[in-house]
Amino acid sequence: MPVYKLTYFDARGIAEPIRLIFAAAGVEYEDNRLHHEKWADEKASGKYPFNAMPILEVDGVVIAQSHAIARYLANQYGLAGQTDMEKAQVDMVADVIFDLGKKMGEVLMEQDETKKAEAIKAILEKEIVTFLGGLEKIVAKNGGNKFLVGDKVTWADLVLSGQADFYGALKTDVFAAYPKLKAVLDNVNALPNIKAWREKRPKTGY
Amino acid sequence: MIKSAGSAATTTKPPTENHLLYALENTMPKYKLTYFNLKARAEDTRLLFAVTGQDYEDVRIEFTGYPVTGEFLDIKHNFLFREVPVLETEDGVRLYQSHAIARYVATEFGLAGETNLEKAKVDMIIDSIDEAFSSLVWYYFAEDDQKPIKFKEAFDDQSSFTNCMDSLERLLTANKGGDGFFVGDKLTWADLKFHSSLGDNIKRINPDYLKNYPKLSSLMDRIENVPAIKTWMAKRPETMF
Repeated sequence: MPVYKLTYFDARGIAEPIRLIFAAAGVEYEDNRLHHEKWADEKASGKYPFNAMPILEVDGVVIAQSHAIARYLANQYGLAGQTDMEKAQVDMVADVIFDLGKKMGEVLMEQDETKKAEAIKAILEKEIVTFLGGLEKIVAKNGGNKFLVGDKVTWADLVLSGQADFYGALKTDVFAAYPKLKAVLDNVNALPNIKAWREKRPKTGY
Repeated sequence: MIKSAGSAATTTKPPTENHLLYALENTMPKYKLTYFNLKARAEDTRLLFAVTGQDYEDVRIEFTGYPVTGEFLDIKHNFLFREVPVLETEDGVRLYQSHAIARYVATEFGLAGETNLEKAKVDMIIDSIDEAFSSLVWYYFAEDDQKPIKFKEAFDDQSSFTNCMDSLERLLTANKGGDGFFVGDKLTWADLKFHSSLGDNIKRINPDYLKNYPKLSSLMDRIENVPAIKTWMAKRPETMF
């Protein structure tokens, strides 16, 4: 078994899908959580390929970029999809969820309360409808499988789990119109390893 | 909309008496790529098709600027996430998201990296290049009076763009001295993404800046000297970016 060390802030953020993958796979790793004050020195060490986190060290070899890390682990542990096309569909879905998350981040970082309320209204009417609506169609086409792609959990499901924990900030039940997608999320969060991790993981603001 | 054959000429002839012949001459292409008439986020896939000599249908939607108007607005309801690019395979499967598409095509042709670790390195380079590319997009979309500001923001020596370029030069150099490719011993999708998203655009709008990066500069030359890429670059449409 390789020695894994994940480094990120003491937060869920964009690293949480990686932690969920480790949980789903039942694989040990060092969950290195860096305090903000330590980040400047860490960056200066030159260890971070793009001066950003998260990074994953695999027997000392450094991989950066959260989705590159997630996909690597998913491929190592059978959580990436079965065929090349299935893997591509998983990649697509993961990227869609990530794009939605980035857009949400922009909206929620708005300082002006009036502008923020407008931005929330806009994202609920546009991106939530487009992206979650599209995902609802994908789930509908996946037969009765309560996963985004194929008939078992993939890292795309874990990206959804991680990101969905932030949707509450929109103060609306974003899944109201997307029951199949909600069923996938509930199914994934109920998987024993995932449930256990979500209960025991450090409680952080984001 | 412009439809053309990508790497190899494929022409459709009118129906003939021989229906089998007609079917053979008019079958679904193995791949159909639909995107704006831009390089932007589909050119890495087009370069992959070029370098592997794979036929594909290269469908281009007219693009006149941001916000997007015209043809795209009429047809975007056809696309699952209202976005392009989309790749359609001959069995009717649709794949969205530019990186999912490029990775799929790269994987089919062994250009995504050899081992899982190499693939991860390719992926991380792709993601970082894409983030930097976003800075250039803001420059291209800026009004004329804003362009100098966006230009300076992008190419400032403290910018996230410059951070990315510095990182890429370091990574390239760390791969056996930097006189080859980003990952492993051969050209991969990472090199093509660098060319299409960053290198090519920098050469056009700020060639002096690229001189700060000797290894990346010679990588650009190395890529452009690949005969299939040279041919494609000579024949591809001129586009905004």
